Amino acid sequence: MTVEDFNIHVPHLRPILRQIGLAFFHNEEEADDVAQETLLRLWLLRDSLPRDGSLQALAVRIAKNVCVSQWRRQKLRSTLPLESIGNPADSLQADTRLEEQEDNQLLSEAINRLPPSQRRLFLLRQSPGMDINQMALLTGMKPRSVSAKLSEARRRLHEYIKRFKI
Amino acid sequence: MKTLLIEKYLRGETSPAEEQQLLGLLEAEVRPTADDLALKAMLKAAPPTAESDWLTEDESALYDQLLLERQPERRTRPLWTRVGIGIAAVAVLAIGLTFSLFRSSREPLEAVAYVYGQEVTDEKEVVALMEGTMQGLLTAASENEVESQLSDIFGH
Repeated sequence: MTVEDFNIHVPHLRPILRQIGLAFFHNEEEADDVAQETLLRLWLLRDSLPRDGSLQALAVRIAKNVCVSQWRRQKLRSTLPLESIGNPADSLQADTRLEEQEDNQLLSEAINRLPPSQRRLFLLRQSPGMDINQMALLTGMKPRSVSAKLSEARRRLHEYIKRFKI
Repeated sequence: MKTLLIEKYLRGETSPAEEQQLLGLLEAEVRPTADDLALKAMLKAAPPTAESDWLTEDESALYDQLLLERQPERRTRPLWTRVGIGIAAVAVLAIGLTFSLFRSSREPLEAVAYVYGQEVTDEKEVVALMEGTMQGLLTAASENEVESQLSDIFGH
């Protein structure tokens, strides 16, 4: 599916996905997270998406999966001590140089400590061709809000890495 | 140039091309600072990738089950509170009804008549006046008397 075709579907899908999250979590912020995470997954899968009318059904299924995943993560956080949580982000590539490996490890830990929406925005921004306007469309936020949240995420990561490198 | 780009990057305002430019500048540093290394790591962070099971995974059944379990509980009052409220409501109703019946039984019925502009409240007198009037209507002296009175009124 092309980017243009994908972008046509997004405004229609977002309220449906948000409602699925709201019904599950009874919380507006978490409902927004479910919608954003689902749209991000659909974005990453856009080359494999069906062209027929079953996109909505797929989106609904993914949104429910996201709800269950987040529920499991919340359950895990409530039962394990904070220090034990911090799995490296799967998408982070390792480098052969030791110092860069350490930096990547620190970055991975820092990314995992970000609030979900900031983490999502930071990583999404790394996707090729992903600019602020495309991110605004995917997240349902205004471009200025996207920039502001991205800025928060970057500053936090920057401070975290600098602090632990010294 | 590098400082300006760093500030713009941290404000979340750089374009993809500017970020590539910044990365190039950082990699060219002979003695990179901690700042430089941190920024380089951030700029080189790998993008998210799709997981193989996203298209096939289906947790809808578990979602539906959890959805039912996670319905917010309805707040219900304890039984004794509900019974107390019911008793109080019945008591108020009973007192109100009793009061209105008591009041109505104490109030006497009043008979009032106005005769030639004068108020007459004596019940017996009012009844007597009514009977007299009715008698007068029923026993008119003659038809002619009634006829002539009607002519006087209507002028025929």
